[in-house]
Amino acid sequence: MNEKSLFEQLQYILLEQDRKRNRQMADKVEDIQSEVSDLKEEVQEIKEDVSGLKEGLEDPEKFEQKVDPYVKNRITDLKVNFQHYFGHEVKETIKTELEHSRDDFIEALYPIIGQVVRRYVKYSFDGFLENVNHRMSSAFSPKRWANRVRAVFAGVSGDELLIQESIAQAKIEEAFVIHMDSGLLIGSYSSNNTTDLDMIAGMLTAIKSFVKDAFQAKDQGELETIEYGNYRILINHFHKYYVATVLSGMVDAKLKERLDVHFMEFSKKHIPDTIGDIDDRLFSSVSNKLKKSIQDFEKSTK
Amino acid sequence: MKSISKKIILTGSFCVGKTSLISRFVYQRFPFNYQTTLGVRIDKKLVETGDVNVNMIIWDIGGEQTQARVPESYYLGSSGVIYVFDLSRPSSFYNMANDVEFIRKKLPKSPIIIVGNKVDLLDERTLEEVKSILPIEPDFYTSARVGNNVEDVFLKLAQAMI
Repeated sequence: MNEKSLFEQLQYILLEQDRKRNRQMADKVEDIQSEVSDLKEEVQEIKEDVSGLKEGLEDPEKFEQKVDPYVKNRITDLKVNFQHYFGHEVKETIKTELEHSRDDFIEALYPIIGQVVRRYVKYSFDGFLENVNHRMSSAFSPKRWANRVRAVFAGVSGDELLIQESIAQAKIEEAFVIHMDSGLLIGSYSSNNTTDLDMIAGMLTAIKSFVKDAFQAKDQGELETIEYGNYRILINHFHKYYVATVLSGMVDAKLKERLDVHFMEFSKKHIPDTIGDIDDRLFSSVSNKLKKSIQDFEKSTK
Repeated sequence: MKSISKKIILTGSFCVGKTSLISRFVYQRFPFNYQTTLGVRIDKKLVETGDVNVNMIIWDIGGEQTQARVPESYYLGSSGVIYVFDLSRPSSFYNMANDVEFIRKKLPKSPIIIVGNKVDLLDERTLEEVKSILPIEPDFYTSARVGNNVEDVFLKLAQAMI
């Protein structure tokens, strides 16, 4: 074996590992090149997709066509399951808001309540007009002719009488004969079995006193009317006592005048000139007469 | 049995326990939360005195430092007065003599019962010290919280009015 051949053999043996490594690296480079080539293709595809999407975004119609089915599905799902998804949150939010912003809610609701009231008034007024129309249509009935005769005697026009009759008639709900200074109840009438009549009489007297003291109105008259809700309290003053009448319905000046006269007569006939002790005998006597008197008054106004 | 209605007033300085006395007498309970009386409050209770039942219409008048500041109309027609002061607060009885004199002039025919309230807040020694400086000897030492003598105050007034 010559020297060159030995050297080559030695080189072959010594570089065996390097050659192997080189081959592996060449294989890896080849793989990487192949992968890069694949990635290039994928990037190209993505570019094409993005370009398509961009076109879609720029063209709303195309975008809508693509997105619409997904949105519709989601909306349907929300509609069906809204309570399940958000029920608790909505409930809690409303509860918290109601607690913290009560005034704001009232303020917001006030106009709506006003509208409801207006509608009710309109409804009532329509009913009233209907009532008038009904009466007008029966103008030639015997009752209508009787009304005309009544109107002549009452000194008012037939139409005025008709309107008066159509308005809800005033009703005496309660009446109290009250001792002027002490506020003690001398007699009472109630259509509703009201309790604590003594305390009502006392408080009315305290209110009257308060008004007198607060406005220094000693010589300038007395409290004559108190209004609350659909009720009106008319106060008729006499020397040692006053009569407070609680009325519902339409109270006009004429009715007030008639009540004045009526209670004047009642006072003359049924209340003693001097009131000593206010005992149960005086109370039941005045109360019985007051009841009869009010029933007579109401009959006379129908 | 005959029943007569009578108006009575409870008066005195503020926060002496007038409303609490009425609450104890009428409703048998003591209100632990203090609420000042504005103007006047009215309650009633039937008191049996033997021959006659007295239907007491009780005017609880908002406390004022002196009786001269109480609206005159509240005294009108009153058949009896309960003047209340606080035994634990000297400022509530310093002016008592003038106040009682003022009421006597307003209502010369009506009995006046003088009541030292909140006796439960004082021990025996302090009570003796307070008694020694009172301008007028009260008719009753009461406690609206515990209920001491409350019924007796109203019963005595009812008997004095008939």
